[in-house]
Amino acid sequence: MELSRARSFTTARPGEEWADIARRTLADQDPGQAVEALQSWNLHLFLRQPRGRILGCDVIFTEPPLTDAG
Amino acid sequence: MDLIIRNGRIVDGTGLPAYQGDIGIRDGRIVSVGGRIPGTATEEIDAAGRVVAPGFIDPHTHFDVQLLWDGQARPALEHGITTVVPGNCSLSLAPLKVEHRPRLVGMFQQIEEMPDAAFDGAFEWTWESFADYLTALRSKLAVNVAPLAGHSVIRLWVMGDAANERAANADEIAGMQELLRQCLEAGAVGLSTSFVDVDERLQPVPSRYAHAEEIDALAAVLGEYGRMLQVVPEFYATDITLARVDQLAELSLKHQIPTTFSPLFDSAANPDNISRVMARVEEQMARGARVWPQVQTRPIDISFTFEVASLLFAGTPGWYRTMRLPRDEKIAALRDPERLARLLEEAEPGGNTDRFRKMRVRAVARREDDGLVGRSLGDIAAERDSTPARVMVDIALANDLDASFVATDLGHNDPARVGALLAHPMVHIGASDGGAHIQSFATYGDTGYLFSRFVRERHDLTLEAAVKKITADTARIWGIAGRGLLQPGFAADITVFDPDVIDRGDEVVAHDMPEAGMRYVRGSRGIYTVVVNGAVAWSAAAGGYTEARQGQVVTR
Amino acid sequence: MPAEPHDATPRIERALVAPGHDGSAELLLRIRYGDGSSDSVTLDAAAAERLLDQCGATALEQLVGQPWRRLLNVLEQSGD
Repeated sequence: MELSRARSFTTARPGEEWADIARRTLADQDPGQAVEALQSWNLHLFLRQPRGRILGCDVIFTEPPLTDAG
Repeated sequence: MDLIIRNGRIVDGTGLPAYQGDIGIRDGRIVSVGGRIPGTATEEIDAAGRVVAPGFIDPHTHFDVQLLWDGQARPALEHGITTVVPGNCSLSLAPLKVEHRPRLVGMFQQIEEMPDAAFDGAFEWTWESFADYLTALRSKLAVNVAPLAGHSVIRLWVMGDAANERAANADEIAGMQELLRQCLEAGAVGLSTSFVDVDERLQPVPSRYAHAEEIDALAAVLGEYGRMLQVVPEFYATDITLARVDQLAELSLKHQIPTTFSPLFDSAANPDNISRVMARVEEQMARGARVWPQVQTRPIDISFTFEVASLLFAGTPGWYRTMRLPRDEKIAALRDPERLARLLEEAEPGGNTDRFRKMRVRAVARREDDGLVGRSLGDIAAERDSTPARVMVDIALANDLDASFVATDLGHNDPARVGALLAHPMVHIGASDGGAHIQSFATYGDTGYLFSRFVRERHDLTLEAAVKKITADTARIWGIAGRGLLQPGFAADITVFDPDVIDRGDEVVAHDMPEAGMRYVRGSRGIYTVVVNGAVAWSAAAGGYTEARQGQVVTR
Repeated sequence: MPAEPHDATPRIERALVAPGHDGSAELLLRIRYGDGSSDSVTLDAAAAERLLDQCGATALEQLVGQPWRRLLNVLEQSGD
């Protein structure tokens, strides 16, 4: 059964930081801008402790929200 | 027969219409349902005019520690709860090495607000393994316990301090798999994990350091036993919840396991959250995945004191500024007539007292103010010929700011939306958090509230549907065999109640924790008899709790 | 200040107080992205207090229009 499209996300591989995830998921973009974009889509990781540190279980969005959720 | 419950209105947990009849019990099991049972039994209960239902099952509790000195899980039992699931949110009391006990105590204190005394002398630590923990529990129980094993403690056992630092390597993952296998063999009904909780140092609990490979490996072990994976997702963040639904669905399909995430809330601040999450759940369930959102029945309250600036005041900038002042300056500002007058005008513009009128006094430091606890500010204001905001300030100052207040029904509080959600066939009613947050609010009585609010008052669910939701459905979702139905051969877990009266009682302060520690509780209304494995464990006619200790650890 | 019509910077569009699971009040921010999409994030009381301070805001409405980078900087610099 086909699922409707959902906002794409990934989880970190052991040892990965923002730059690694940007390289893996946004390979066609300028590295600095890719990190910037990733962080802007994942503010939830900065709103909790430890701020901005990626944990193994974290959902990391690799695109902005799909639609205006209202 | 040992026990016959006569003339009751039998709501058997199937969801089918109620019918009149007797129920016979022998050796802890139901042997006869419906019809007139001839002869007599050792004990008989007249249930005329009352509903006879399977005992309720509470799938999200933190009674782990309390059960060690209170096998009745008070006050859950008096609400008709006959089976509790402890060990949620990645935290269980086993498996746990001796040297890790202080770490676990810290986590429990942070997340569940358990006082020191609860761990210091209230029980004897006699176990490290999950099997030995269950042995320590078994002799004490008046309720049934279907325990989860916590991912954080499993991680701690295998990785030690590194559990809070890094990803697990292949050997460590294999070690966790083996440990989980031992827990499941001993009787664990699944694994709990958390994506949000923090410990007493406000650092992430160990389960949050687990990468996808580790979670997948543990889910594979759950698959060997067909057992549950429970997770705590991020609250209110809809896109993240949707991602969690997809993650759980993939694990469910790959390993053929049930999964549940708890809690799912409705909030006016994020009104499309529920519809989007449930749409995704429906899609995933249609694929054959089992992803059960747990929804609580009760609304959410917000508590605050004058010691700390609550965001509740962020909508009134003058108050928020004042609340953020250093303590002495804050007291001086509240004592200054001119500044107070400005604050009162902001809080009650033009004499409109709506903002604070319904708020209640939650706790006070001064003994002479004890009588104010539980009363609304509007009520006290009327008595004192004052206004709600002014009496709130007066009470705070009189108690040297050591007074707390509660604003009730601020979230998950739209009865039409919550009622429709609770009735949804893919919603698992639960998330009570029984035994947790004990010094902030009462986590008991959600089942009574289900019947009073959503069955009797609003008709969102029929009586039969509501009973099914918290008995047979719960047993089926969790794979708890032989419970949840009134059916011959099933365990005699039975709750007798008056459908016109059943409700949760008022929230009150109790000092019934070890060394007279305080917590908030609610008693029950309209519950008459609670039977656990054939023994009357609570009876209104007999004055409440009995000496029965027939509770069991519910295994496969 | 409100976002410009063609501004590509994600900005805070709305700030509301919401009840948290543990009985505390939390701040729910809606972030509007440059492509028109939006998302919500939740701050605890301490983080919200710092954000208000750093933005020089005394009321929640004054957070509206603040760029995401400011939010991120505030949070990255907080040491708690």
